[in-house]
Amino acid sequence: MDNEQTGVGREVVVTGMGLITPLDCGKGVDAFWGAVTGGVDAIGPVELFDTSPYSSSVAAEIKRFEAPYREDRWFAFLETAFSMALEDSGVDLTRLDMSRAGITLGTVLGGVLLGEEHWRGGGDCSGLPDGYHLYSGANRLAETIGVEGPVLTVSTACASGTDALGLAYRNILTGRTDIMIAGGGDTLSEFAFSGFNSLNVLTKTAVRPFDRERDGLALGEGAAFLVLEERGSAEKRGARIYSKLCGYASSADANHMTGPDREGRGLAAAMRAALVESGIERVDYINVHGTGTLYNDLMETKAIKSVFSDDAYGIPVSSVKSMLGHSFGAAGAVEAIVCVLSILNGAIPPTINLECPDPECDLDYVPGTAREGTVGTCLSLSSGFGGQNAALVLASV
Amino acid sequence: MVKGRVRITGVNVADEGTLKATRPQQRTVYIEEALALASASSLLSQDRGLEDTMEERTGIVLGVDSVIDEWKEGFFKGVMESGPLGASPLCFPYTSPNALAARLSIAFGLKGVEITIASGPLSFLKAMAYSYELVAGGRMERVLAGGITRGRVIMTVLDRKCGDDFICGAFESKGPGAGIRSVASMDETFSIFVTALDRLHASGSEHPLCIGSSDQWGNRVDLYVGNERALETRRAAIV
Repeated sequence: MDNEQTGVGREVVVTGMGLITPLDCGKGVDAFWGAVTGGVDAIGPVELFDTSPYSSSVAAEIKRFEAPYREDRWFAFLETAFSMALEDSGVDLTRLDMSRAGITLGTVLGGVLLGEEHWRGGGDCSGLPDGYHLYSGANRLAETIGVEGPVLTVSTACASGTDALGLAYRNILTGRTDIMIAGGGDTLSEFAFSGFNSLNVLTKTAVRPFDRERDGLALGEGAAFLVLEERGSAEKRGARIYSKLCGYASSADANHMTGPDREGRGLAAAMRAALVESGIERVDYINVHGTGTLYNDLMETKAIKSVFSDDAYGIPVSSVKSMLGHSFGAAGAVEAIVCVLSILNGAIPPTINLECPDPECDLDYVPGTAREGTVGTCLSLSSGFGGQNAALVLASV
Repeated sequence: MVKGRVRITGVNVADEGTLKATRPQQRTVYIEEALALASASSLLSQDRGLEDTMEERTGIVLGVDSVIDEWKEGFFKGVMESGPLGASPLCFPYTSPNALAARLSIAFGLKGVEITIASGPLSFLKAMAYSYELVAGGRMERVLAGGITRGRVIMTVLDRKCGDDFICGAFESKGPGAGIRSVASMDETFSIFVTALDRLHASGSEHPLCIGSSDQWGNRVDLYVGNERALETRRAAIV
């Protein structure tokens, strides 16, 4: 048996990236990186639906983007990011062995805007349009390029994007596939807005991760995909290799349906397992979940200290959700791209709106302004409802 | 990656009749939640090896289908009818497909891998395939793998320690293939899976059975299930 079948000796590398977020509105990775390192705050008044009945009126919305059909916004986001990532990878689809190519997509609400329209029109579950279903996104994307390998939709709440990347990584590592296009996407919707409003976790002004005055998260939207390839296969076709993905783990808090374990034990377990798999003990940067809620930020701080002990104080940690809000299934994939860009560009994006540090959140959160420096290794962390935790380790090649 | 032996140490299918026959121990929001808890409880209470396994080494991988759509509809109808006050903070977490995996992890203290697959009718078989990879690759000692559809739940336990049946392969791809049955619902994949196990027990076959299904999108899952004799035969063939 060769290593294609056994998975022995295989490495996974990132060869393409594509995204659409409120910071770039589909203008590409360079535009995104410029805005995210410039500390641009994308959070503002919502235009997509009427927020007047709610206690908050802000979110990070993608403006100046025309979906062919407003309610099909989710797939339009997916298609934009997916095509961008494939083009960036330079992969020649006509020469690709499609039986060894797959797609994993992380999403929480899928085409919920189509669902809202359907329900507002008096429809019930029996007649929901195809584009509403979570599985429709990955399958429609697979059809566009003729993928013949595994097509998987992962839904692990706010860790969906990270888990989608993790499962794609496993598929390549175990020898099932040589190339996976993996990522996530979700849209802003009144559905989600009303739900988070009911839980009293929406900020009314700005997202302030790790700040003493933090008062909640802002919802966001978008999509992001990475092209992951087996290293030998990527090198053989002369691909530009951005970084490697060398560790992944998922874990459960087994604690609460919406709140995290207060000590961050589940997240710490995921971090440790991902680090062990990568063979890396210390990282140069941690891109945290950093939602700006009271419990998440404190939990993450404790988890990082638990894993790195005193070294934790010397590791830059930042939350791009301070600028982008929380885009559910997209978040983990967007943040993995942030890690890859940090490695490539030797810079770490800031945590904005962090002006009055919480004494209990005492790590280096890169407040206010981006920081330059060599980044060879990164951890990207995600957590979600139901005690979901996921961690990815990315490193330079 | 060295593949270990993966055993199916328990299978439990629960429906409304199950709840009539048992007294649920926990309060639940939806009937499928009660079914999942009852089914998992039944399996785990019979599981001789659980006490030997660290909670962190036990994972949950579930396939969830359109049952969640009804819960979403119920939640959003509350918003349409009563505005913000109609949005139930109790029901909102259940609009995320991972809610039942979360509920099981909390109820049984399982802290390993937690993954929910929402890939339509094949979600259960895809959950089984991923669970197989987790156990075979040594990433989890055991996995509670299952599928949840409207009014019916299937739960299985996969581990490397004991049991009669084993999984010796799982493969996901596109295209129908010979002998692959096309399914329109996850409930059908439950039946195919249980029927295949029954046939295996009845025949004592030396050859693994292929549980193969495809969906309307051309996605396909092949799960190879056999018994001890089939495992030995397969090993001999590989050598």
